[in-house]
Amino acid sequence: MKEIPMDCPVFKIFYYKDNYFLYDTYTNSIFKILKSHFEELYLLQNIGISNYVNLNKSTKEYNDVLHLINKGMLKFGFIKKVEHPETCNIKFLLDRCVNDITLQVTRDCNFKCRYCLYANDSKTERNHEDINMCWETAKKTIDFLYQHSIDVDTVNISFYGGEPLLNFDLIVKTVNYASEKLQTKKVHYNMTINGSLLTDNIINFLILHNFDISISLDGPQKIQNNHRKFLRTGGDTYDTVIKKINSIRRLSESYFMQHVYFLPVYLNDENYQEVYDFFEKIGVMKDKVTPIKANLGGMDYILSEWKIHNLNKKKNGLIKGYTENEISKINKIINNKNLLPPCWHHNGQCIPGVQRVFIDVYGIMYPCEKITENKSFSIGNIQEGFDVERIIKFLNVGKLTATECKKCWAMRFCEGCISLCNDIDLCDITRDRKLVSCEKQKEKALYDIKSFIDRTSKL
Amino acid sequence: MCKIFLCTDSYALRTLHCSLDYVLNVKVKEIIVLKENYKKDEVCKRRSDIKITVYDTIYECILNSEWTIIVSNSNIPAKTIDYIKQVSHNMKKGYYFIENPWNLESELNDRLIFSIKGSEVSTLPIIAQVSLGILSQPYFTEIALNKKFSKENIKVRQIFTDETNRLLNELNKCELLNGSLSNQIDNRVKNFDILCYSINVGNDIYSIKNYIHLFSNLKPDYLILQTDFRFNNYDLANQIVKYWCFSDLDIILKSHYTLSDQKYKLYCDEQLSLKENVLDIESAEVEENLFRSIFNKLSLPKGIFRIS
Repeated sequence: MKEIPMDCPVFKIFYYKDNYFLYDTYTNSIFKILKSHFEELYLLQNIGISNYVNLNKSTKEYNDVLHLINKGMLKFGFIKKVEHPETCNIKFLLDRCVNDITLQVTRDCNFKCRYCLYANDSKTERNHEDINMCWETAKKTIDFLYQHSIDVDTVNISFYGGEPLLNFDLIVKTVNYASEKLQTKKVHYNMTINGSLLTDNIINFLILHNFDISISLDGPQKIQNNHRKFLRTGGDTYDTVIKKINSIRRLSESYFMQHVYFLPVYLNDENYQEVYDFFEKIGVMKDKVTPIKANLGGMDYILSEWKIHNLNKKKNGLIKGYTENEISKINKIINNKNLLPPCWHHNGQCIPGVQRVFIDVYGIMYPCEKITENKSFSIGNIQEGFDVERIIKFLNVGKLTATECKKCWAMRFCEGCISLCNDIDLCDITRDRKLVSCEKQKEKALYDIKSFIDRTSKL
Repeated sequence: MCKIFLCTDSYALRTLHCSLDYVLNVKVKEIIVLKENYKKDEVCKRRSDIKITVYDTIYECILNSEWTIIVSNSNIPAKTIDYIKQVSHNMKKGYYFIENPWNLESELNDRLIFSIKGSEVSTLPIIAQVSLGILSQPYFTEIALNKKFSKENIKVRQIFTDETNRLLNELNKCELLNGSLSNQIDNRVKNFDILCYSINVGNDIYSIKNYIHLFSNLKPDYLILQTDFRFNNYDLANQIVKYWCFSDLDIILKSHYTLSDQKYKLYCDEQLSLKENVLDIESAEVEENLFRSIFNKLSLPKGIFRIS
């Protein structure tokens, strides 16, 4: 691998739709440039600033690049230290601001899905099993939330599985207890289900407590039945799920429009447009559908993977994939001209335990449901509380690649988190895994910049 | 002597309970609070003689109190408010609903202070209290100033921060506010001896620049800067106050709150690192130290009068 000079400025040059572009990281600016500028900048990237300045060329392009340097662009070394800014507050945050918990109410499921990590005898993940969370653990979880949320006004309580409705009685008991306990806070309830076990009784309960539910419906009949089968009979699931969805609409159309979301899982060889069209046909708004790419080697819930996959399929232009929220997010990143602080950490990593904590059936805490349920990744348990040292380590995941991060042109766009860095074999987050994820972050960042160019300029 | 159930979020509870006995026009013997919003071992050390009792449920709080003050801005669920009203009604106990002014997103509005002409107060001492956001808890100091001057029979004209003004107005409408504060809210104080004005400039200290005309018109003789827990750029603060407030920075009061992750009003239960003119707003000695400093600077010997 070619060595990068120590004083190499942090920027990105690229060719897109017959034009050349420069993205300057320090000023967070995008420029359209000439080919000759592109070549100069390429040279600069290879030899570093001091060597470049000493070239003393007389060409216009050389002087143009020097002009950019003199104007405060094309800088290097502006990040001195990689550390998450909330590290100094973490102790208090964990004590007072826990606001989002997910309870794994069961590990059992009535579906067997093609891509499910827990349904296919994985060597590295647990399998579905007939184990439920007991009431004592659920109660302790709510008590824990109560004790550690004193400085927040709103809390989220989510239920997860397996298929959580297999333990609906526990959900009812937990919700009733939480409603009694948390008297002056707003409580939002969420649940991810496959939809097959909904009854009118259950739906009415969800409506009463304003649950936000995410239904894992993968699309039209052909796709759904191809992906998801009933575990015990191996039978098709589409008809059952659609019937249940229609029950929700029958009982309350307004609840359906406001609180029901869909998570279609999408395989490599499938046409996602067909799925989009399906949801449109059944009257589901676009912002209620969040596609997730599956990897037949295991679950990979990273939206950026989906966009990158589709970028590879097309040579130019973009596909219709960005939601309004995503566009707004990209605009916000690019329009933020604040200089980066010398002590910095990339985005993407939530504050484990505070913004999210996943409690498994035994009461062991994990950063979220995407992390392997292996004790090496646990951040504590309901009995003894948080493992603060491990949380600080996860919070500062950027330190694994601090050297690279300080020189990375995509630092403003990065959304790396520990779920992308966990090495199941070594039972730890590792630098090697993070570096793999880094390349994908850069691809995504470039894609986002190109989409911004498409939306805002006339090329 | 009453027992009052104070139902609100942890920030408002912490801010209000210390001076509730002074602010209200009733003698407060005991404040009842809900365990959900109050950690018993985190007592503000500059506390007075009021007893604070913690209960697990709203029912117990209402049962053991004489009346309730709810301070909320929709952060407390509507069903809880309805429940309090219903239980209070059943127990034949009163309740008051006050809007919580301390939102992180609250706007800073122009206020009464801009209507005061410098020429009208040029012979009077002027104290300016500049707060960097609501997490610096200016309310503590505003009430402490009013209390002290009232006690010393010094006629003070006070202009409060918007948030404090809103809260005191609400209490005044409910006829709960003490006379001294009520006179301020109703603008009834005439021929005053000292002017105190408080402004909240927001989290960014550079926003002080937006008030340069105010400071030019009402040059402070004593300036208090209130900051959050993490603020430590004292040199910058000195420079900014010197050049934009036309004053020395006399004292800094630090709260224990800080803004975390752009959204959490986080209380840091930790010792503050202090310097000579930097005080912990929750310490037992803060009022004594603050007023010693104010009076040392502002009071003039007998026979000497300020003309301009």
